[in-house]
Amino acid sequence: MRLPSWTEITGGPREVLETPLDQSLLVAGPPGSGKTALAIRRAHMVADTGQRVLMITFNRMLRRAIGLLEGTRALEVETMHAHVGRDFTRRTGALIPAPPNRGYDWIWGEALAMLDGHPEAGPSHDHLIVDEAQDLPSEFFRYARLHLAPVVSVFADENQAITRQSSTLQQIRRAGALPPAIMLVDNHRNTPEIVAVANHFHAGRLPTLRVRRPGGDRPRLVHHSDLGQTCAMIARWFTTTGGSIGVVVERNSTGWQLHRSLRARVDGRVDMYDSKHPNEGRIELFTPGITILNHRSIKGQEFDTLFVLELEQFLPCSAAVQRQIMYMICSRPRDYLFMVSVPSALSAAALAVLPGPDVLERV
Amino acid sequence: MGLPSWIDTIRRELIVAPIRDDPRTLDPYEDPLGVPTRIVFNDVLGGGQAEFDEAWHGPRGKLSGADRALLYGLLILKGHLQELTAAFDMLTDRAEIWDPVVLDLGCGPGTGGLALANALGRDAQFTYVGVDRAASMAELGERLMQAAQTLGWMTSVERFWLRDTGELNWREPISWRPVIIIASYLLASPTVDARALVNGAMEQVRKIGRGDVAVLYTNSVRLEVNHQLPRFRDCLIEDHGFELIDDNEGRISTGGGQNERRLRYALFFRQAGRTLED
Ligand SMILES: C[S@@+](CC[C@H](N)C(=O)[O-])C[C@H]1O[C@@H](n2cnc3c(N)ncnc32)[C@H](O)[C@@H]1O
Repeated sequence: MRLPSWTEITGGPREVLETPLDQSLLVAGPPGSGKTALAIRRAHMVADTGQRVLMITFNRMLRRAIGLLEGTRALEVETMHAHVGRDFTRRTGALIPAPPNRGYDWIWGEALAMLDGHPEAGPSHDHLIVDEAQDLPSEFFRYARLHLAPVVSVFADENQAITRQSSTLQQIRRAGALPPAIMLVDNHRNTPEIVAVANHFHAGRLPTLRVRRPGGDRPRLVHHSDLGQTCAMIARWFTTTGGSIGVVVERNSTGWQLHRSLRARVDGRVDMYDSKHPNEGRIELFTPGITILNHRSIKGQEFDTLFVLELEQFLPCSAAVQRQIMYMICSRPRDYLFMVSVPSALSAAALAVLPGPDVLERV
Repeated sequence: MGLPSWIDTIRRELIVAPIRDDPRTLDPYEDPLGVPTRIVFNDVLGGGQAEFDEAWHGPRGKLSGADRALLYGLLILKGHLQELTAAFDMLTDRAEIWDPVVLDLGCGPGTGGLALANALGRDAQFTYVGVDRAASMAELGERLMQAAQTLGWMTSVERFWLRDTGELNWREPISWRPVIIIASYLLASPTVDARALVNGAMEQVRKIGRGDVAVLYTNSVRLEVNHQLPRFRDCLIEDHGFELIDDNEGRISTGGGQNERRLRYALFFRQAGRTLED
């Protein structure tokens, strides 16, 4: 009797790495399952064969992180909007159709129809690799297949979608004519205590995260009466614990205020990412320090410690998309998670949707 | 390869010794519990497919359901344990199968659970669901596993014993835990319908989650006992999206020299998440 071993028959990372480079691919996996790392590896493997490969990301911070991760290899990495906007104009000489004042809410049907009149420009790349695909509109995958590249490798997590334009795995699969998804099922990033908080906000048809790390500290909910206290806490944490620290704030004004006071207190890197004045190219995400950013730009990132402020933006999760945002945010930190209510305490309704004190300690 | 020593120990303690010490037995391998071995094999055990819960009335006295399960343990179990430990050793070779759920269909005395525990290691964590219509078999299985625990094996194994897969009352939320389904020498039974068996098991798998699922089939090489294998295979592949990894005849060595057993085996696999989209 001769049987293969479990690693030889199970999918996951191995199946992703073994899918021939001229075949399209759909990979689905929860946060922390290593999608981005696999996407970069595949991009390198394709680039090594001399093919033109393009990596598409959801936001500029993820583009930056990938740029830093892949080091000197100089992969072409672009956000979807930047790339498609330019590609469309190159092909048609026109701007991609959008309703007035709705910059990024493109009218895809019209755009695709206009392209039918310009068949001469063939695909711009041999292989397209898309990360955080669930946040992109499904029509993009049709555009990609028809115009950008004959082979498309897509990495997605449908439970992490944070935009109205997001797509389900089925929609992505149909629009991109992709094979069934290969699932990555294990989370290697977060401690079980952090996963418990994230899973509290989990919704959708797929099971919750399956955590593979040993236990750590219980995440905490802290109340501060003013931002100065929060700033002192973050500064102290950086001095005693160090590592990479993320701070989620929604209002740029709060972000800049924190940035100013942290700079004054902390001997180390303090950066604020403001999508209105993109400066991600200067943020050394992977050197120890503090990065202040909002929920849209934290997508795809990971930190040792995360402080989440302005929770009232997402709580009490009256809309499903808010739950998904909480799930996505809570699965960013590897080791420590703090939720901070400042300056006013959370409403009873907001408190009611948070996990109980056994999962999220109150201090 | 003989039995792993810890399994051999519990089999001797809980099966061989009680039969040897039973007043009805003169020689445990000639007339265990007072019945000639050939009659035990053909009539008491029905080649492994008997009604193990019913008392058996023979020419020299009565055997209880528990007696019949013990005799199964004496005359048939060992070979099946050897096959399944060999199979799981290969399947787990340098691989990690983390916290699986095991559905052992027609489990007898927990044969598949013991073999898998041996392959995964002393402290391995898994959930074992033994399904057998004979309570006498499950009772023997539970005693074997308790004895294993006193030897430091299977201490992190959660156990359930059911008469039918439909009795499984799965309370955990759906998860990515891998599922291993075992059908060892079950499909020869005239009481089993291959399609109903597969459908019943897959209904439970849906409640458990969306993880990887492997199905291991073993049986003797005799043609007639495998007559349901094509239906079993078609149902897994066509109705439940499995792929066939192997379907073959093979042999395992059972100790020094020329000793070996021949068997028919098949392995099926379905990747995590595959049910969602296909
Ligand atoms: C030959 S034994 C195999 C036991 C075990 N799988 C092994 O390999 O040692 C067959 C077992 O299937 C059980 N069985 C037969 N028909 C069954 C059914 N319809 N449902 C559940 N179990 C059944 C019998 O009670 C018996 O324990």
